[in-house]
Amino acid sequence: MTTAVIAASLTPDIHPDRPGRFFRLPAMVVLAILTGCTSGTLNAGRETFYLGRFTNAAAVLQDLPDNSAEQVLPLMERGMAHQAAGNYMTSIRDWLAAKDQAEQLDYYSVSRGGASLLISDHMLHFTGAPYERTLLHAFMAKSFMALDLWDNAAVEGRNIALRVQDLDGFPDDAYSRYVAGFSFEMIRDWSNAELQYRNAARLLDTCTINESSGRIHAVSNPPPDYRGPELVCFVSLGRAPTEHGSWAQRLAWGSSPYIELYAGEQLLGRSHTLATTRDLMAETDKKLAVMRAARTVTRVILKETAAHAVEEKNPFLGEIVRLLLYSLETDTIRRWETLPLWLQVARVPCPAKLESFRVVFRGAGGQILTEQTIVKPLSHRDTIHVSFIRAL
Amino acid sequence: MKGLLTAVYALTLIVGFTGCAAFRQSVSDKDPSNSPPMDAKYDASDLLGWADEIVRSILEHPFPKPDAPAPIMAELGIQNRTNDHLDTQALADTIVTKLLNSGKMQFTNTSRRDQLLKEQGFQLANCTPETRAQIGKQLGAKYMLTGSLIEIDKRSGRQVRVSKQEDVYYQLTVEITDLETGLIALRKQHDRMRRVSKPLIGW
Repeated sequence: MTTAVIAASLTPDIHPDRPGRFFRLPAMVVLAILTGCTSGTLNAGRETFYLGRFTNAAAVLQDLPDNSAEQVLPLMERGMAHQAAGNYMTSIRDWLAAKDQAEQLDYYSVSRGGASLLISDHMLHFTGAPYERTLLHAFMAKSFMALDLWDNAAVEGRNIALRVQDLDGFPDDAYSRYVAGFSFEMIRDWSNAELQYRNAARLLDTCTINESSGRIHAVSNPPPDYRGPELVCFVSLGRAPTEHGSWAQRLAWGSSPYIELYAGEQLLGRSHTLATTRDLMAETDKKLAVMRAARTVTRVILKETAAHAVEEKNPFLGEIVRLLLYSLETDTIRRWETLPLWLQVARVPCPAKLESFRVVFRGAGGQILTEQTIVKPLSHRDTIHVSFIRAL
Repeated sequence: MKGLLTAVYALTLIVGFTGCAAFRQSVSDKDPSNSPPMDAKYDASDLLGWADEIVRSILEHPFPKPDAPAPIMAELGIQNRTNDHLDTQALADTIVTKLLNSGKMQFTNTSRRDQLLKEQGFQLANCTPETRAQIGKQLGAKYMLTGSLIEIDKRSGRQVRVSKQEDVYYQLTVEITDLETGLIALRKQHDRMRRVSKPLIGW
């Protein structure tokens, strides 16, 4: 859905015998052009991404807005397209740029804040919700891991640790903490790895994490102690909930899918959900609801006051002002929509020489949804093989 | 009316004179070791200043002994343990350059070892016997130079205020280890802390 359609749905009724209604359509067209262009490209990139055409999606998002302050979200989306296409270094470049831009915007802009009170929350720069900013580091760490750049992955691990230190009521994220812990483990920073594994385990209900080995298992089914070759799979499934929904994708995956890993016919183990973007988003929205509602009420009062002031002198002009002010109401919640819905990790024992493995995707009831063979794990360090799975 | 016109002229002149400078591209050379910091993070002056400090403290140390020949070292990198993707290899390169220039240490070229072997292989196959580099004549390092750079960030808590403060602490550790015995022959540290105050409200 484009911002133009949302703007139309938010426009208040205008009395039919007033001439303002004749200006509604042209005003809408102008506003659609003005506000819809950027988000149109963004949505086109997202849709191309979810058609599985990752390189094309990155190409669609190639041209960034001229204003660097508007580039954070396109860079986040494009980085994800590059990562899914296997262009890890390019994804890192995009995400580092997104992170830098977002940090530059970490202040309250008087001009933007004031404009948002009269026009819409869209006037505020997007810098990402706290969970999105944390996941940005987690996904960047994975790109570094794919390139065997373990020290750099650990840099992102430290950034995750920093971000989750002071959440101020925003949700914590076991997946990002696990990625941080794993990146520390890979550079043999055991104490920090254990700390992150321990904190991640605290956030989980159905599974737990052994803080000394990083192994994940069902609470009721602790595995026997194991010190040997392992396969660690970071699994991203489905599509993060969006404002406009994507029920087709949600229905395809069911309520809580998982993967099983096989070496030949031998079952190695399964993945566990450490976080979902749905929960992270819901917790974030809960925290922000009061703030958003207050801003909306203030905005409506200001718009009505302005329209009334004009209306008293010239009813026709007042109606036009009202129309224009409400037409400027656009989709206020912007999200990083190429994030997956389920963020999972599988950490399983495996043969020392793991040339390939089979991934079986299962629904909540255990039914097989699809299968895939991965010819070679992406990278490895010592006896740990690392692989990433992204299924739409 | 006359006063108004005068004010408009004055304003135009001011904008004309100050605006030209404000909107013109400006380029000037700076001394990297003395350039004022833009923020609390690692920058060019740190790279040069820390390398100077570490080299000075290494050379002040009774290592190597005054009458001993210049020891052969292998530089194996400085580990980046900060929150940023810093080029710590550049820091290691600067330290090695300064130590080499002191004439008190020798270094094997570890970063170009693969190319060195390739070139030796090429010479062995293609060059005349009298000019080709002899295989197996490389000198073995007696010591290795390694290090790490850590960072501790501390930010002011959430409260009603118009700016936030951030303290950034770095500690650089450089050590020289005897490759035969595994004993640390020398270890030097340098640290610095910088506080930055960033506005929470902007235009």
